[in-house]
Amino acid sequence: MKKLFIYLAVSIFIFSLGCKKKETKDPNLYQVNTVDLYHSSADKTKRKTLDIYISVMYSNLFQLGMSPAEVAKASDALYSIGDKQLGMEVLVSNFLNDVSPQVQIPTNTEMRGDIDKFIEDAYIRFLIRRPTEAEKTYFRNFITANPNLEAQMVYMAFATCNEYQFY
Amino acid sequence: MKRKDFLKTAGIAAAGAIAAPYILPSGRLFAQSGGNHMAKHVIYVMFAGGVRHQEVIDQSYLTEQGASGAHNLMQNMFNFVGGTPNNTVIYGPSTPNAPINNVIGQGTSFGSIESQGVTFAETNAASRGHYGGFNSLIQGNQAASQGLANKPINPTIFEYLRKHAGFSATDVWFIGNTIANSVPLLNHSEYPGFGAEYGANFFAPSTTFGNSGQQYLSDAKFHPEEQLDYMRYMRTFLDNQFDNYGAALKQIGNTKDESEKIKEFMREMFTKGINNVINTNVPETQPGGQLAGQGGGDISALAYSIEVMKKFEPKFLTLNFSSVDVCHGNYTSYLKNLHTCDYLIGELWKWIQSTPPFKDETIMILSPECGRNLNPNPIKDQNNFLSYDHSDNNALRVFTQIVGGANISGIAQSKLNAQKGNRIGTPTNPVANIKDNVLTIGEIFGVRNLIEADGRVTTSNSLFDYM
Repeated sequence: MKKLFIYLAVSIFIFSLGCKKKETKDPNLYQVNTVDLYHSSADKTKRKTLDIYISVMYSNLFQLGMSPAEVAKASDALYSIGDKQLGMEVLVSNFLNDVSPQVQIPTNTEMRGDIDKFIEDAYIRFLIRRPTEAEKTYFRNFITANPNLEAQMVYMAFATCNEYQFY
Repeated sequence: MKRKDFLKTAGIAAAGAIAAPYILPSGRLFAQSGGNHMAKHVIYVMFAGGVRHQEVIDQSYLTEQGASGAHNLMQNMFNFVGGTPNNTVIYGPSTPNAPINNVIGQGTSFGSIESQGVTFAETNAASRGHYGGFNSLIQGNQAASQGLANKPINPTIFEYLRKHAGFSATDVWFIGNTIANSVPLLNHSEYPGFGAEYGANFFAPSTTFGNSGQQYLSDAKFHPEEQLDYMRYMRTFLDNQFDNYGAALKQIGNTKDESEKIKEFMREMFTKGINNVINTNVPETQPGGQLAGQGGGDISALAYSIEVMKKFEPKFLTLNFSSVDVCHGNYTSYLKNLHTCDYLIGELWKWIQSTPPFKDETIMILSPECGRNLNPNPIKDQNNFLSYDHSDNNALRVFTQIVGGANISGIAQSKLNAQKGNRIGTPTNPVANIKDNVLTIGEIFGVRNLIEADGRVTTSNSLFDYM
């Protein structure tokens, strides 16, 4: 009886080892890689190609991806203009006019409701870094001093500035 | 101060302000009157994708393909020798038995470019390739180490004019017929001391105002000026912050007003529509015309160049054609496209000579970027005609034409008048190189010496030196 008990105990132990729950990955689970924020704009040394610029800008404005074919077509349009900054302004204005999908921009009320958060979010969304105190102060003062300023113009400034063209 | 003294002082001050020179980007003083410009406008045509000397200057037509009879395919640019071809292979498609309208050739009130100007009939191309040729045409340099798909390695004529002659960004335009072949890269170099801030404004209309532009540029939201000013203030702040780290990007340098005028131009062009713009400026594309319904890069480059001239009245505009490059594989289409490009030049010069402020005040210069081979490759087209590439010494044989309006001045006037209708250069005595065009344009605008002093052109001649 004692032997039987030992055999039974050993068998249960071995069985329990063999029945460990297998961990499986869900093949349909997608996620965005974690991106570290830049410490400062000085970390950005490489210029984006037009394709990258447009693709990233579209994602930043719409919070959606753009198909490669559409990126190529938009890139051709921008490449065909000599003054690239002017071309970018026109392209961004075009996106701002899109009805479906619509750009994802905070409303003017949201912007003025929490200016510091709006500024911080804009820096992280477009420039992938936090604003310095000086930058935060400038934008806080500028937005406060200009009650007619619309949130979309702040986004346009970010989407067409030099730093945004680097990574 | 007594009233009399005040008026005297104020008068002197006002006169001084009007007559005072201002400092150019290059640091020199320049009279506000525009200096010693020999013409108010220069139109520069890069013609037209590798032009074989035999069909153009020799007017051999199909003789090298086994047919008989020399004929002039290009009645607007060159005087008749054997008349227009009676073989209809180059005509059409809508009225296949007649050449495209003779706009300025013999028998018209204008006269061909050859009869009105000077033809350098045997000129050296600096390169056997397109991009090398383009770069020589705008750099005045052999540019032997110029890489494909790279910005010009030396300053371009656009930059020389903006830096030394003080031209604004919208005074200087380059209209490309395509975004292929690195054409959009040609509007400025990245040479130290020059670069984007002195570059030309550029459009490739078949793309800018074609499908791509229609989808991504035509529906730009209207922003009130006040909002745009806010945006510019904030962007300047952002750029200044980034400049602190030494990665500043140079832009073409359109002023705020120039930028808004360009945007306005784009809106107008999208409203007009590409077909309407082409039909208006290239009459043969209208229904019933011999190019009815046709568009393409060369035709749209011409049509939109005219629109740019109407809107901005540029001092210097360059445009390029390249449709004859089809000669690599289809000789029949090559002949047709030569005939079409000649017609486009006819329409361009007719428009210039009919439209203030260009009328009588403009000099036009045309050169191919390269020629084509003496012997054909084995590729036959639908008519069993052989095709031609561009790699041998015959591909270095090209021509240059220069023609000016009645009110041009200085040696441009005296030399063009003295040599009017003449051909300069023979196969045994070639004269000029396409590189010389840069100093020629510099001389017309009074900055030739400054361009030479920059030390980046590899020629010491302008076309006027040979006349």
